[in-house]
Formats: sequence, C-alpha cells, structure tokens
Amino acid sequence: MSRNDDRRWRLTSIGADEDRVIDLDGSPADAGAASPDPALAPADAQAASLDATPHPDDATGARHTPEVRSLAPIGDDLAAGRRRLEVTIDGWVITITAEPAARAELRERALRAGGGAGHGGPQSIKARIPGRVARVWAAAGDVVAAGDRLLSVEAMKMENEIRSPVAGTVLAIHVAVDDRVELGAELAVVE
Amino acid sequence: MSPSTRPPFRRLLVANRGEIAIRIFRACRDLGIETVAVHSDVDAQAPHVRAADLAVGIGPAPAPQSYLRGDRIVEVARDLGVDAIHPGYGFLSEQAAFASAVEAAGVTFVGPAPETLAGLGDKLAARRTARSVNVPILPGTFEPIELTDTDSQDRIAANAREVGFPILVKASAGGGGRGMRRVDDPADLADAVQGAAAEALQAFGSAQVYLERYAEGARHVEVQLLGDISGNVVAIGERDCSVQRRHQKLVEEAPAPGMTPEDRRRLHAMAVRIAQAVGLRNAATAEFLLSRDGELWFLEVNARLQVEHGVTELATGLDLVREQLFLAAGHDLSPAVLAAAARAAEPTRSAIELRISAEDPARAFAPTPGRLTRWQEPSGPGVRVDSGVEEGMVIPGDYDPLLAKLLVDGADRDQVLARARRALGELRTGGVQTTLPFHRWLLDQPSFIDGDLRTDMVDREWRPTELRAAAERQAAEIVLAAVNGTDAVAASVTAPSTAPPGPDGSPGDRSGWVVTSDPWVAAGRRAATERWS
Repeated sequence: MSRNDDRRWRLTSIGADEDRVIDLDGSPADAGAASPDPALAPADAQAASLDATPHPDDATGARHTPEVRSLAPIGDDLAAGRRRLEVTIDGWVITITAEPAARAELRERALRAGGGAGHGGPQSIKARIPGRVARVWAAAGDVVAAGDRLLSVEAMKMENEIRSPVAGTVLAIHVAVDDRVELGAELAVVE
Repeated sequence: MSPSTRPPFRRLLVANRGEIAIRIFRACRDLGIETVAVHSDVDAQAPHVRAADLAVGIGPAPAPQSYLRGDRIVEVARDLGVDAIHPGYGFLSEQAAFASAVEAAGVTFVGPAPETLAGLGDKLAARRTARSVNVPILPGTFEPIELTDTDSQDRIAANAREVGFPILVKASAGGGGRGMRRVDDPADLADAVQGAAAEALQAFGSAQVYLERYAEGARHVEVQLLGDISGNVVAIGERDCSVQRRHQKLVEEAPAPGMTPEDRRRLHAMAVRIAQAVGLRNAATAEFLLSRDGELWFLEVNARLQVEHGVTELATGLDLVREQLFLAAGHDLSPAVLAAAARAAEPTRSAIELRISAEDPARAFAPTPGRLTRWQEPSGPGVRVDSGVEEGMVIPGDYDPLLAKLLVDGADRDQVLARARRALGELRTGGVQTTLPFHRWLLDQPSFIDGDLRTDMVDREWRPTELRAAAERQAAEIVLAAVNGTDAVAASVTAPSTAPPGPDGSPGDRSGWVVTSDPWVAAGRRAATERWS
C-alpha cells in the first residue's frame, strides 16, 4: 500500500445527517434515540477529522455487498475541494464527506488561531426533513435551556419536535404554523 | 364468457395512491375493468398515475386538499362515468360519510356498508358489540371518559383501579397508534387522558377516549373476513402482526406461528361472530391480542382491505381485491373463498410481509422523505413485491412512508424466512434511509426465528446504535481507501457527477451516482489478496 501524500483525503463527516461525526476507533457520537440529538448542533461545532484504522474484511459482519456512489456537490463543496459519497451497507445509507488532508489541516489551523471557535456565536437550526410546521413554542427573545422545545415539523404523519441545542436566547424563528419547509431550510437561530 | 368471469364493473376509480392503488389496478386489469387514478399535484408523475388508464388531478399535496377531498373524488367519478370506487386503506377508506356520498351518486363503494363503517369506526361501540356476542375483551370501560372537573378525575381513577394497571388510554375514533397512551403509574393517569384526548381531537376530530388494560407480552393476531350481501361471513385465515413500533406494524405473517387447528377454529369463530353482528359485507379484519398462555381478547375491526392482505393471498391462493370487487357487485362468496374458509384452520402454505418504509430505524423510525436515487427490487422463487416507487423519484413528505411491501411465501415458515433473507439481500436502496436494516436484523433474531412473538419485541430488543456504527466504520474505510487510492475500489469511484442537484439540494437524478462495487469485483479482490499475502 503506497500512500501518496498529495492524494491523501480525510473524512470530515459521516452519517445520515451529514453533520454527525464518529470516531473510527470509538463509539458513535450518537448514543441512540434516547440521548440528546447531536445532529441538531451545527456542523462546524462538531467537525473533527478522522483517520481510518483498517479492519479485517469480516470484522463488521457485513454480508451485503456495499455500494458506493458519488453524490452531486452541494453548497460550496466544489470550491472547498470536498467530495461527498454515499455508501450503502446492509441497507444503511451513509453519507460521507471527504476533504483533502492538506486543506483540512489548513482549516483546523485557522480555527485554532481564531481562538477555539465552535462555542458561542449564533447557532442556526435547520430542517432535517421537509414537511409542514405543526407547532411553534418559542418566539424571538425567549430565553431557552438546552433541550427546550422550539417548534415541531410534521412529515409522513409523524411530528418531529425540534429542540434547542444550547442554552441561550432565541434570536429568530423564521417559520410559522402551517408553513411548508424544505430540507436544510433555516428554522430558527439561538445564541 | 362464464358469468363469474364477466367483469363486475366497467370503470373503477381508486381513491388512493402508491402501492395500494397499483395493487388494485392490477386486479382490475386481470378482470378487464378500466381504471381511473386520482392524484395530488406532487404525485402527477407518480407510478400509480401511470398504472391507470385515466388520471385526474384533484388538488395540492397536503392530503386534506387532495386525497381526503371526498366531494371532489365523487365529482370526478360522476364526470368520468365511473361505476365503482375502491378506497384502498387509510385516507377515506373507513369514512362512513364518504361511502354514503359515493352510493348516493349511484356509484358502488367497494367496502362494507356505510352503517357498518360507522359502527366499527367507533372502537367503544365495537367493544360493546363483542361483549354482546360473548367474545372476550380486555378489562376496560365501555363508555367514553371525560376529564372535566375533580369529580370526573376521581371517577376515572376509580375506573382505572377497577381495570388494573398498566392501562392504555385509547381514542375511540383512533387508529395507527394516535391518541394512545400507556400508563403504568396511577399518578400519570390524568395527564395521559388529557394528552390522548387532545391528540385524538387533532387527528380524528373527536376527543373521546376510554381505558383498556394493557396486555404485557401479548401477540397481535388478526382474522381476514369476507362477507356477501346475503349475510354469509367466513374467515379465511389469520395473520400474526406482532412486530410493531409505535403500535404500527412492521412485519406480518400467515398463518400465525405456533397455533393449533383448534386454536385457529376458536379464533376464527369469534371473528365471524362479531362480523355477523355488524352485518359485514365485503372485506374486513378482526384484530385480537393473544396472551402468552393462550388467552384471546378482541381489539377492533378494520372494515377495509388491510395493508397486509397479501400474506393471506399467498397463504390461500386467493386474490382478495378480485373477491372484493365481485362481492361489491352483489355476488355471493365465491367457491374459491368457501374452499379457503374450509381449509383455514389447517393452512398448507406460509407467507411473510416486510414493510419497506422511508424511515430511519436508527433514529426511532423517523420519516426520511427525499429522492430515492437507487431502487432495485428482488425477485426469484417465492418473492412478490407490491411497490409504489421507482428509482429516481422523490418520496414526498406529505403521505405515509411505506415504499413497498416485500412478500415472500413458501411451503413452511423456515423456507419463507430463508427466502426472505435472500430477497432482502437483493433489495438495493440509496438516497433515502429505509427500514431494510431492521428487517435484516429481525430475520436473524433467535426469538423471531423461534416464533416467540410479542408486540413489545422491537422496543425491548432493537438496539440499532452498534449496527449503525459498524456500518459507518466500514463505510469510512471503503471511502478512505477509495479516495486515497489504496484500494481497487478507488479506480471505479468516479468524480462527482455534473448532474444538477435536486430542488432541495439532494443528489441529482439517477445519473448522479455510480455503482462501483459489485460482488464479483469484491470476490476477485479478496482472492488476489490471499494469493499474495
């Protein structure tokens, strides 16, 4: 196995939400449905790069031949040199973003120089599924605790409560009851 | 042409969408009946629209403005000279007012009479009916309870003590797990009653709730019934539908494993008694709970074709939609149905249905609408797929997440499970997370393989975090190897396609992805590694 440094890539996010990160050698950041949902936190606050530790082929017990697809770029993927791929394994649909290692290091250095960004600052809360706004509990100016309900989006006969990822003040609620929202639309901002 | 093969109707409209609309159109095509689809704006290009001879748009995406617009659908039926409407399941299928409006327009409603629907739609009324024909029901109340003042609170608490905990608070107009609350601690009762009533009001327009004992560890079994206008009712077999989440079914099988012919006769006879008491004509299903020591309790009757009717079709050899159409046209129960009823206690074939839905089983089965960039259905001996989707289409968030039903049959349950595992391995998906990983896990569970079924199995045993994490680790390795050029896969992962992204920023159409790793490549790679290491 030859590893040419010019071609080295790192994985910046893994998971259905694209902003959930796991450590390849550890356990997933998401401990299941019962725990607070880290997917609600913005991508930048969570991003950590990963280096793969090879596993033997059969360690995962997968019998379903994995399929890999390149996804069309979204946002500033092209400009940032990022690639998005989707892997399907045993029916799990997993989206992975890869970034050239050199660029990832530059970005991290910039982040460190900026004085530990990732905490504080306004947090944007985006729609994880398209749907209809069923309820809105919070209003701009409200002081909320982490985990407080902000609003709920209904899709496919189910209502999905969206809670504040942090304690702070609601800066804005961009939607009203019965609004239809698209995937990725900004719903609220909390600081 | 013999009388029995003359088409019962000339032109039939299906007031539904997705896989069930296509399922009904198929039966119509077999019989030479012309078909009419209705659709919302977002479904204009949907597979069910193309499966029909005629299609009419009836309104915007939200169901209340399209698929629930009974008035508009009746109007379309009149304009097009339709002589029968099949409601499918969900939407308008159990609304007595719709059935009445259809009949008033001189069109045949394929389903039970409006009065039967009205009687059975009310679960409390169904409980009273069961009691009147000596069919056992769970301890509970027979009248709606209302939380108005402290007096009523005391009364409800007294009712609850009589019923015994744990208790389910249920909406009398309910369905699909809505307006339902489990209560273990008497202190939580008032809150649960209030919550269930509010949810029921929002979902069904009625705040009526009642109390029923929760049967811990029980199985869900149900009986397929058919009736004709002369008042004959038969049971043609039962299904086990214990594998559920949020009181919604994930897997159904026929026959119910582990029941003796005597058990079946007793169960089927109870179901027929209730159906006769409500004057059932056409198709319905009576649902029961079966305790771990063999006790049966009646739950409710669903007066329509069920999602899971296909497993009974595979186990009996009948086409239930075809039978429904002849029954709706006034025919007697067919010789095929009577023969199936005679054999119902001693079934000779087995079948299972796995519901493939746009839901994330790692996130509490949350809905996952979006573009289905990859969809390839399994086939082969014993495999039937009733599907309403195709590769490249966007799964709208406005409707039920069911994509397809994977149905498998065989000589016995072991053969069925083996075939089902094979079929799941052949099903290829992408772009949208589905319930596929759950089903793969389920078919390897010892309790499931042994037929040790219970309705709380998913809550007790489904722990997806580790499974998902293992898949993510493997995915990460594959991608890293691919992008870093350290693996043969790298050669076949192409640069991102230039296909335009979907309107929601999702991956573009099907040309936007490239399959890179087929089994032959993988096997070849493994062999080469072994040879040189």
